[in-house]
Amino acid sequence: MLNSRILTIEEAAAGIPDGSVVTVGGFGVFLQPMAMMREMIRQGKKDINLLSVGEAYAADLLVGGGCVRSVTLASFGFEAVTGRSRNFCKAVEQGKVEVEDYSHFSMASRFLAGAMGLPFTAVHSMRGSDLLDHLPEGKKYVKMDCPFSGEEVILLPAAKPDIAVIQAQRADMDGNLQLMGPTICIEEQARAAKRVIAIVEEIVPRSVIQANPTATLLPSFFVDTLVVLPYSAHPMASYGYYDYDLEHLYTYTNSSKTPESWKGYLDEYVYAPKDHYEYLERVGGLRKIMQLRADPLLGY
Amino acid sequence: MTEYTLNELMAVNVARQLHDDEMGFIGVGTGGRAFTVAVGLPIVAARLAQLTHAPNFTIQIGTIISPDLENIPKVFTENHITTWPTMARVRADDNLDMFVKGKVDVGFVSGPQIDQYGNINITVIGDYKKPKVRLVGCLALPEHLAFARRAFVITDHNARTFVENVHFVTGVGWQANGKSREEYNLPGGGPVYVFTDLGVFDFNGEGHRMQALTLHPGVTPDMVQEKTGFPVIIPPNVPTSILPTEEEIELIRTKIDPENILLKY
Repeated sequence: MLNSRILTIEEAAAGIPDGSVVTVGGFGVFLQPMAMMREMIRQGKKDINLLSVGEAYAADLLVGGGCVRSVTLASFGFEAVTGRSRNFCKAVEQGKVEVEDYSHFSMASRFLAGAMGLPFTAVHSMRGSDLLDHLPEGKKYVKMDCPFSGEEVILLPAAKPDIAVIQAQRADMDGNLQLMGPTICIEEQARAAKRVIAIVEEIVPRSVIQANPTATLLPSFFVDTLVVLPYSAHPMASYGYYDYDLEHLYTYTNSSKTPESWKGYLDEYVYAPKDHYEYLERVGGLRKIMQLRADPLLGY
Repeated sequence: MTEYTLNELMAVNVARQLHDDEMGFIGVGTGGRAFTVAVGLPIVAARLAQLTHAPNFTIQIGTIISPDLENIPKVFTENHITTWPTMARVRADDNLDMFVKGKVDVGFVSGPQIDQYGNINITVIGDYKKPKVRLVGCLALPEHLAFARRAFVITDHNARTFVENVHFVTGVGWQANGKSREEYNLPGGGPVYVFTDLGVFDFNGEGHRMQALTLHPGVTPDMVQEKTGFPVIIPPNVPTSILPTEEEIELIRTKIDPENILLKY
C-alpha cells in the first residue's frame, strides 16, 4: 500500500513553489480548501497560475492575497451572497492577473483528458462565441475535421496542473480519500495533476473506509500529501460535516469592497491568527462550529 | 379578477410554454434578484407546469437530476440542495454532457447583457483584455445556447441589459459577428423566448431580431422601447400577456412557494 505523507498545513503549503500551476477543487460554496489558501497567503506565495472550473471563493481569496499571476476559469460566481467575486474581478479590471475563459463543459473536458493521460480533448462547445477569439489558435485551440466522421470539432489541450490542492471529508492513514455530496470536478482535477495535496477533516480507521468503499473517489495512489485539519473548508461547506457560513461570507464580501477594508480582513483572519484553530476562534469559535456542524440525525 | 405579483405573472407565462415530458436545466444562482430570475422563477414555473398541464416535466439543477418538486427545500443552502430527494447526482462532466447529447429541452438562462439577436454576455463589460467590469465568466451558458432545444431567457428589462451589441458573445443567439446559428453549426434551438418584467419576446422578427410577443398589463410600446437599447419590434395591436388564473396563483402561494422563498426578490 502506498502511504501518503501526512504533513501539517504549514509543511504542505511550503511544498508549493512560486510560479506553480495549481488547481483547487470545489465549487459554489463547498469543498474549497480555504485553510490552505490562507496558509499560502501567509507564506507569501507568488505568481501562482490557477487552473479552475468554478472554485470562486478559494480563487478570490488567493487573488486577494496577492498570490496569483494568471487564472484560467469557467466561472467565478459567488453563490449564496449577492455580488461578484470582487478581488478577482478587480484584479482583472486592473490588469493585475491574466485571464483565460472557457465554457464550463470545456474546462471539465480538459481536466477529464488530463485525468485520462491524454494530450488533448475534442469539444463542440464554444462554437460561435467570442471565447475562441481571445485564445491563440494553434497554441490554445485547434479546429479540425474529425478524421472519422468529418464533423468539425475544437481541440483543446488537456489540463495538467503541477499540483492539485483539494478538500475532502476523510481518509485513512494510507490516504484513501472519501468525498461526499457534490464533487463537480474534484476527482478529475486531482487525477489530472502531477501531485495531489488533500486536506481532510479527520483520519478514520480502515474499517470505516471499507464499510463504504464507493465513497473513495480517490484511492491512496492518487494522494501524495495528506493534511488533517477540522473545519478547514470554512467558510465553505463540507457535506456530512458542516454547512457553509453565510454570516462570514457576508463579512468577506463586504470586506472586499475597498482596499482598506480588504486589508483589514486579511489582517484579522489570515495574518493575525497564529494557526487555523485561532482562526476558528475569530470566526465564532465553538458557538459557530455548533451552528454549522452537520446534524448526525438529519445527515447534514 | 385574480390579483397577482409581477413575479407570479412572469412565472405563469414561463410555465405555459413548458411542455409535458420535457426536461429543463436550471443553473445555480447567487443571491437576491439574480437568484429569483435564474433559479426561483424557473423552479416555480416548472412545478406549476407539473401541477397543471405538464405532469412529467422534470428539471436538472446543476448536478442533481429530477429532484422531487413536491419537496422544494425551504432553505437554498448547499446542504439542503444536496439532501433534496432526487433521482441522480452526477459529476460536472456528466451533468454537462446532458447538453451535448441533446437531453436538455429547455435551458433557463439569464445575464447582464443581451442583444437584439439573443446573444448573451456574462463575461465582461467593455474590452475583454481591459474590461471595465469583469463578470462571472461563462458558466454553462455556451452549452445552453448551443445545445438546448429551446433556451428561455429570464431577465429584467432595462437599456443597460438590452443593448444593440453585446460586448462579448458568451452564448450565441441567432446571429453573432455576422454569421448565423446555422453557419456555426449549432444543433440547439437557441434563445426562443425572453421573459421580462415588461412582456414576453421572441426572435421571430425580421432577420431573427427580438420582437414583442405580448406585453404585460399596463405596459405600452413606448415603455418597452425606452428600456431597450435597440429598436425593438413591437407589432401593432400586440396582445396582452397571459394572465394568471385563480388556480395558478393559489398553487404558487399555497403549494409551490408558500413561504415566498423562490419569488421573494
